[in-house]
Amino acid sequence: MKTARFLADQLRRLDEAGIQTFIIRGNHDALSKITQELVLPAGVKLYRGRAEAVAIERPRGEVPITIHGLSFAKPHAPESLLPGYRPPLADAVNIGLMHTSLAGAPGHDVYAPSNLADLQAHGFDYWALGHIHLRAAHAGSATVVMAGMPQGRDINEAGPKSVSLVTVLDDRSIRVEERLTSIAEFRRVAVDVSGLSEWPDVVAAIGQALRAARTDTRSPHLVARLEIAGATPLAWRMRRDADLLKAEADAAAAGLGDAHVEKLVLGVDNPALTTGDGADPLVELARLVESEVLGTAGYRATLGEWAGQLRGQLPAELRDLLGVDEEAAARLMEALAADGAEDVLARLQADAPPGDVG
Amino acid sequence: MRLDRLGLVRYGRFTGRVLDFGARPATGPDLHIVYGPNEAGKSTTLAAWLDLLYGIGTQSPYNFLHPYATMRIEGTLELEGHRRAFTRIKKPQNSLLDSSDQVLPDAAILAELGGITRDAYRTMFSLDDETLVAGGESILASRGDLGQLLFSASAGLAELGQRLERLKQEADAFHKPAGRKTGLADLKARLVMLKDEREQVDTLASTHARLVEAETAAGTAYDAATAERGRVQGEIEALTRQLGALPRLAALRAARAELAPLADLPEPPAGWAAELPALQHADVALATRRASLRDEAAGVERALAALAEDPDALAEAENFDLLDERAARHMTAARDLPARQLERAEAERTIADLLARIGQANAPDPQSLLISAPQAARLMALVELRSGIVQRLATAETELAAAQADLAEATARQGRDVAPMPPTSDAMALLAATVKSLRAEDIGGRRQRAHRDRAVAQAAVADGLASLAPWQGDAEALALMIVPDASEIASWKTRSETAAGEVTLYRGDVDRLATQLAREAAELAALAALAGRGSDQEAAGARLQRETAWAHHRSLLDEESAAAFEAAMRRDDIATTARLGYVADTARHGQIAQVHAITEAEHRRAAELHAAARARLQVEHERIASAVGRLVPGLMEAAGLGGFETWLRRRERALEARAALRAADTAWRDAEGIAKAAKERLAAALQAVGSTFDPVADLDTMRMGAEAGLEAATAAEALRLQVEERQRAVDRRVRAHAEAAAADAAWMDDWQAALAGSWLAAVDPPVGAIREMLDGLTALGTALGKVAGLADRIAKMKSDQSAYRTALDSVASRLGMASDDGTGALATRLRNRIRAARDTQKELQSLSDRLAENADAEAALARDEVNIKRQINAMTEHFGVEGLAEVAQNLAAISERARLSAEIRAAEQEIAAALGMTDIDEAERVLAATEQEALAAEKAALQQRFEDLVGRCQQLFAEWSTATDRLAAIGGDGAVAAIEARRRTVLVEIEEGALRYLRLRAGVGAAEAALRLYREKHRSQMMARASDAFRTISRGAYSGLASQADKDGERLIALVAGGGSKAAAELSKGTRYQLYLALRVAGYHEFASTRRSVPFIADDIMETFDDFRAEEAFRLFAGMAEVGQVIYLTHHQHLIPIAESVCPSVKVHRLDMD
Repeated sequence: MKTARFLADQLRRLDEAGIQTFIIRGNHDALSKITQELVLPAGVKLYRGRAEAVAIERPRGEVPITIHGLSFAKPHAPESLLPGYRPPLADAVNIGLMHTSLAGAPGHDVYAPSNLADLQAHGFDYWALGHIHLRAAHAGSATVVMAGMPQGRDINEAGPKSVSLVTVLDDRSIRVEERLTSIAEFRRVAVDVSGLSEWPDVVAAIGQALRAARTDTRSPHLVARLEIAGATPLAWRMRRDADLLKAEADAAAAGLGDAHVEKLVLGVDNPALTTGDGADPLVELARLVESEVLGTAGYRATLGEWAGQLRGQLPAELRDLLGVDEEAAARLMEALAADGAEDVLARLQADAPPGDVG
Repeated sequence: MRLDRLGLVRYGRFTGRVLDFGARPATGPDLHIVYGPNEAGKSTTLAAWLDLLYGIGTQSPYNFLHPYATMRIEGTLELEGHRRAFTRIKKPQNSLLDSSDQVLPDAAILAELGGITRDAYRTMFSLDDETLVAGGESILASRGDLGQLLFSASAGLAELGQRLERLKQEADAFHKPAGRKTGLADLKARLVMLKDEREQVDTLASTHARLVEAETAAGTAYDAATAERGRVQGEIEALTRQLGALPRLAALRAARAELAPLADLPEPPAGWAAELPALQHADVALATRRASLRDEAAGVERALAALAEDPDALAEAENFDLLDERAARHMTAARDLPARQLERAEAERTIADLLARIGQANAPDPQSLLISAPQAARLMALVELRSGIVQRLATAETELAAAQADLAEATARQGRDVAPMPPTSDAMALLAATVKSLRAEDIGGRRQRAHRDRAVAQAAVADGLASLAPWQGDAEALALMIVPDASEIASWKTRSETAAGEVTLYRGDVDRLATQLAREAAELAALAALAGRGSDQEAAGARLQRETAWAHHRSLLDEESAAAFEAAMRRDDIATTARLGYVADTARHGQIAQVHAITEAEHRRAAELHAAARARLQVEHERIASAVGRLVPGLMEAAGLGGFETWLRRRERALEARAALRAADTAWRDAEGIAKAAKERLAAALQAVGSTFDPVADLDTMRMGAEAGLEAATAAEALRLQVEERQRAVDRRVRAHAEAAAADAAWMDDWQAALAGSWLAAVDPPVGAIREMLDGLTALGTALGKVAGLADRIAKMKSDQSAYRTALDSVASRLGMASDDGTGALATRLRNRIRAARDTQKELQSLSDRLAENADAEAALARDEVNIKRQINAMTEHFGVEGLAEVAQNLAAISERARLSAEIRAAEQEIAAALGMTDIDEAERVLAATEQEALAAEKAALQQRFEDLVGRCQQLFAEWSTATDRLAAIGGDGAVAAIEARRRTVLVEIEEGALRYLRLRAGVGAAEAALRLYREKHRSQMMARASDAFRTISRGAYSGLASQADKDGERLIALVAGGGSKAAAELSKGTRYQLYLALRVAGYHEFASTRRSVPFIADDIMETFDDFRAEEAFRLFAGMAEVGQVIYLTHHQHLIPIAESVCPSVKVHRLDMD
């Protein structure tokens, strides 16, 4: 209710400034009793489960504008909502609001499916769509815009985030401007360290990649996930001293200003494993791990057991973390084991001070 | 990698020191021993080697001679078959340089080391006592998995087990199936906390609706209750006022009743009430005063009538008063007169005495004897001068006589003494100088000393020669001898001692080996006795019989041959079995026999060496004896080489005495020459003054004669000077005496002149008496003056007395009184009569005055009485009464009437106000109609209702404000959104932690599995190597190593040769160290078999090894040196021959020699 009251407060500010607000309810709102309880200011129009068309009050002689809207009455809407909307009003500029997953987006369930062609054929001048967090704009007989969201929340909502400012011009034409609103922008930054053999070179490569990413980022803050890959003799050291490398990356980011390193993902390989001196016990150990441990059924079974134990302890929200099905889980565990073996071997090396190793 | 050359340019105590290990030998082991005693720098060398490879650490202890900035190590290494020169300096970075001082990356060396870190290299292949033990302990401490242990040994990863365990713990920190305090549990707890927090902070929509409704209802109820409470309060206040007014009504009615009788009294003028008391008081006071005035007047008149007056006495009073001054003088004169007459008689006696003293007792006029003051002063001055003049004259006469006597005495002496030597001054001076210089030079003393020194030196030479026995000869022969020098003798001693030392050394070897031979022989005999029962020959015979029987049986294959073969086979089996039973003893017998043979050979060799050493010692002795005998026959036999050294020192001392004697001779001759010259000089000087002397006397006698002559001449001259001086003194005294006589004559003239012109001139008194006479004259003058003054005063007093008596007599006659008594009594009687007359007169005057005052006061009183009467009459007439008392009653009544009226008005107003009315009559009526009890009951009821209402209002207000607060508390902010964001963060943390946990767990699992595989693969080889090395180093005392499973995994145990086993921890310290070394040896071979070898360096790790095990350790080093370079640093010289015996090609480097 706190959050709802906050919303109401902000809507009141809009109302006091003479700005009208039009709201439709989506799948989440349909569940919510909060929005029903809220007392909204006079300047806010909340559409109900039956389609309505509301004209905006305008001075005589100006182009009339009508806003069409329809709210979700239930959390799920397996059918298209489009047939429920009223036909466009002649003479007026018609704007439709709809909560829809369009044809469905990857990783999302289907909500009120509709397709672009049908929307454009309905006769409205502009469709303001919501539901999917990634912005999409489609020109055509009707301008269709999926506005996305104003601020990404994690690395899975990477990239700049925005709102759309839509202007109806006197000649009834529609102008759409994307306004950047994200304060921080998540971004995956790839760093190739192939063939680098000196630690400072690696640090330099990270710095360079971060600088390029920072330059490309329009939002005030960059939150980078560094994905470091390549074959390098430093692979073990990077795994062993991952925290040191993270500190180096943090320092590089701090040097750029308004840049932050969220996490390092190490995908580096050690060429010594394939080409190096076979007599080094550690190399031999690594080879044994790769060839005679990782693939064995017994080891996999043990892994599966550990994963099972852990899964039982995870909170409900994360139950799918270790793979939604058996096959995915096995794939995940295989990757984890390969990575983990690399990490452990790297850390078994003697803790040589940084200066002593090339 | 191989170290060809290590240059310690500036490092620790070394400056420019080079250790050259040369090139790798073409064949044979590459074994080096670096020998250096303590402090020679072995540990420094080891540290320098590590620093060359890995860099000099930030804090190095080797900067005590060369500071950090100048430290420098150079090395030539063989890397992959190429020789390369490196230089290491002390810098944080870029400290490795090539031969032209260009910076090289550290990897240039490290690549060759196969990734061995400094710590691993120190632990495994660069050992000193400390790292040998520490590394060994950590290998054994890793208990459990032997695979890990051996892996550690070959890879230099000493703490593999602990590392894996730490990683596992790191994983367990996030999640452990049975664990509670895990990271995952913490995170989940935080999720729950966040959920609770959200529920606490947030409000549900339905609750919100309920809150709004409750808030509205509570507001309405509260308003209604507040209005009701106000109304009730108003009613209570009205009732309260009415109840308050009822008592006032009663008071009003009472006041009105009291007022009615007072209404007719006339109103008096203002102020009477205040005046009345004063008026009453004044009336009484006037009456009292009049009575007292009348009594007083009567008393005064009675006193006047009693008084009697004396007018005659009053007339004489003034006249009598004038006589007071005369009366006083009369009294004084009567007291003083006798005293003054006595005083005058006294003064006259004094005058008579004075006249007698100056010899003029009968002088007719003492006044004429007095002389003037100037004349007396002049006489006194002359008297004082007199004594000085007399004294001066006497002194001059005495001194003159004394001077004349002195002169006579000196002149007499001059005449007696005759000058012995005419004083020719130059020659005398020369003689004096010569004598003085001879005394200073002390020539005689020098001659005596020189003579004594020479005698002492001669005795010393004789002693020195005597101490050289048995040698005989004089000092010159001694000086001409040629003797061997100190270095020659030292070399004789060294050779002789060396030879003696060898003899001792070899005799020790012979003894030790003889003991060993005996022990081995005994052991052999014992083993031979055991082994006799199953000898090799018997076994061979049985086998031969079996073979023959088999060959026979095979050719025949019949029953008999089969039986024969069976029997032969059984015998063979029995023999074999028996032999197997004793095979160990047999082997031991063979081994000891072999050792015994070696020992015998060593014994023979030691005996030969011993004999040779004795021969060498004998030769040395003879050579020395012949050399000494040539110089001093017989000395060597008596005193030996030490005695000869003593003889040589004595010879040095004899030669020194000889030199001293020569010096003393020279000094003596010099002293004699000097004495002769001095005598000649003195003789010449004596001749010059003409003095006679004995030419053959010695120098000192001559000198003393000359000194006596010089003294006599000096004394004669002094006497002559004294006579002259005394003559001059006599002349001076004669002049002084003449001056004193003249002064005396002049004084006598002055004296006569001063006396002239007075009676003294006639007397001519002696000078001494004049002072006395002048004093007497002065006193006489004073006494004469005093007598004259006293006579005058006595006459005046007598005249005053007679005049006073006359005056008194005349007064008495005028008053008619008798005058026949004394002057004093008459005066008193007259005075008393006059005083009485005056007192009476004064009393009469005073009484008359009082009478007049009394009459004035009575008149004033009469005036006041008239005034008061008038005022009293005005009041009594107003009220129509008799006196002032009744007037006072009337005034009090009028005052009471005014008070009642005011009370009535106040009561009326209060009642009207209480009933809220303006009309007092109306209000009085209403109030009169009410009843007090009814009103009180009604008020009590209302009061109760009011209190109920107050409580209700408070309750309703609390409810309303609570509802309002609750609604406000919901607020509209981002708190819930923030909690949600935190919840998402925790979820992300859990996600990452879970994946990290699984990765680490999987990695550790994989590594453990791989380690097990690694162990399977390598254990046999490593175990064999370590086992061999341990057996070798323990000289077979331990047959090897084995692993044994226990609850933690496996553990390493040492197998004792005779059977049994010991865990590593149970081994003795030395043996445990050997086990540690064996593990390193095995690791080194394992390392070298798979990689390029690195130099193995050890710093005196064999402190606890006995010589035999040290020998075996060198054998192992020699074996390692076949595959790599081995450098052993030691301060034990005895290890060098041991190493050489094991490995003849070992190279020895010495740190103590350049």
